[in-house]
Amino acid sequence: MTDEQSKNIDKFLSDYCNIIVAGFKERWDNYIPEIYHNEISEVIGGLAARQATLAIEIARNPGIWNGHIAPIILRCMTDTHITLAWILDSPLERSKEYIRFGLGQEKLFIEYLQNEIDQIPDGEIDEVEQLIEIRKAWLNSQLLEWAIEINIGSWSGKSTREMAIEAGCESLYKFAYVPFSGPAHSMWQHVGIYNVIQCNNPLHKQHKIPIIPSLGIEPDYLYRSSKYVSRTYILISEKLDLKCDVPLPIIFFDNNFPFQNSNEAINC
Amino acid sequence: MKKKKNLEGYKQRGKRFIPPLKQLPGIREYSYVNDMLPELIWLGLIHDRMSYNFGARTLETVVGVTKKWPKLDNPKNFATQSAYADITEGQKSEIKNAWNKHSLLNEIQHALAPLVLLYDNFSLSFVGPPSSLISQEVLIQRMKQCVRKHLNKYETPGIVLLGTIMLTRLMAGTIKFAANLDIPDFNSVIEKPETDEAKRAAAFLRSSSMAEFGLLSLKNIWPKYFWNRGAELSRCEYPENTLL
Repeated sequence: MTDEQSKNIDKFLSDYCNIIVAGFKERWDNYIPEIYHNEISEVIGGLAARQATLAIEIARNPGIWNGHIAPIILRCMTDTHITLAWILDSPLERSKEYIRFGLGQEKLFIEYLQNEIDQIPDGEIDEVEQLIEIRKAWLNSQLLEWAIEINIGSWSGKSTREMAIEAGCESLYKFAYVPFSGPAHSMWQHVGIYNVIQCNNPLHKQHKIPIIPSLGIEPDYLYRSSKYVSRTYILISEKLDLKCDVPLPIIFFDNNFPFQNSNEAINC
Repeated sequence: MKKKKNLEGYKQRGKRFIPPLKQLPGIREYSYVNDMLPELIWLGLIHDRMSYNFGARTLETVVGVTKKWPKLDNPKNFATQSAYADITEGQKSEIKNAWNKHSLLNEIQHALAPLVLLYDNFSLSFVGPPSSLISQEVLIQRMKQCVRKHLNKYETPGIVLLGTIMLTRLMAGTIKFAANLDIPDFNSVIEKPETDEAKRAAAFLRSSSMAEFGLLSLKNIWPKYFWNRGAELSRCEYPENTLL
């Protein structure tokens, strides 16, 4: 990559991240949060901000634009979008349930820590006790421990597929969530392609042997993340009636990506 | 030593584990911040501007007036703003006149100005606006300071605010303590807040006031309006050194 190309891509990425932040900020500034039922704005705002954060972190780290890591983040982005879209169809009830589930998981983790404390080496007990106190304080600041239920099922009572269908995101589920779940859970459909290769020894029945391949950069992963964050921005604009003049990240990408196509970028 | 089980005392219902206290029938949850603070914050404004003593006199005057009114099936607690929502115009005048007679009205009008002028549905707006003009910016600032000061029910301003619920009942003579009950000195909350006596008194006030509040079965119309009005009046503020 020439110096000029390097500068161009740096500038593009910096401007792209600024567009993501500006798009979020303008929408949030136009939003009047419900304060009595604060769960709604906390969950909607938090999930939308999470989506923006993931998009920015991908952009800032070109070294992860490959099949090993990028799909893990993209899967998380599709999950975030489906969760948010489903919550937005019944914000009060679902945002409360979403929070309660999270608090229950935290409570369960604290129970595990407390009950295993006698197994912890002497020198580390103070540290673990401090960790328990900090986590308990976070928990109690939202709902007193005695009132926290623990749900060991799905937080919504539904599968992600059902949520996606109900929220009108079935294609996102089928064509993004499902394929990215392979790398996210290290399943064979990913590992069988990325981390094993056929052995050349004819005596070995063409079995597969492990590899740790070094992959190049594929800007298509960044493009996809721009698509998902844009989809989330469109969703909150529509559902919450929020106007925004900042271009969507995907539009910015299309108009400003400094290479003609992905191959040109890969070959640099 | 026998190891404690995870989630001891919890009861499994399907995929949910219910904590012991929530297994009790008829449990209703009230939040101090969400539900009680909006009901009591008018007294917080009075405490802030004048004193706790002035707040007590304000309530004492109301109790004096309302004692003469016909008894209700569900008695009101006049520490809560909702208690004033459906009293008659004549009853409002009686209270206002009594405050005026005791030379309290002018200061009450100044203290309650943020609620009277910024919150359309404030049920004590019959006190009227203050005699001098106050800018909206100042009113919002005062409201913010007052709410911030009373947000914590474990600190003196919050404890006193909660205590007004019980104080009103004591003044009205509708609550009595058994002679053998070891009642803590409630003044210690204000005079010696760091002492064990004050902590015991605070716990007593918190628990009894929260129980009393539950019995009042107030609707959440005002608390909901109060908090959402806050979002209309002023924007979110990020903590220092935090960037969006």
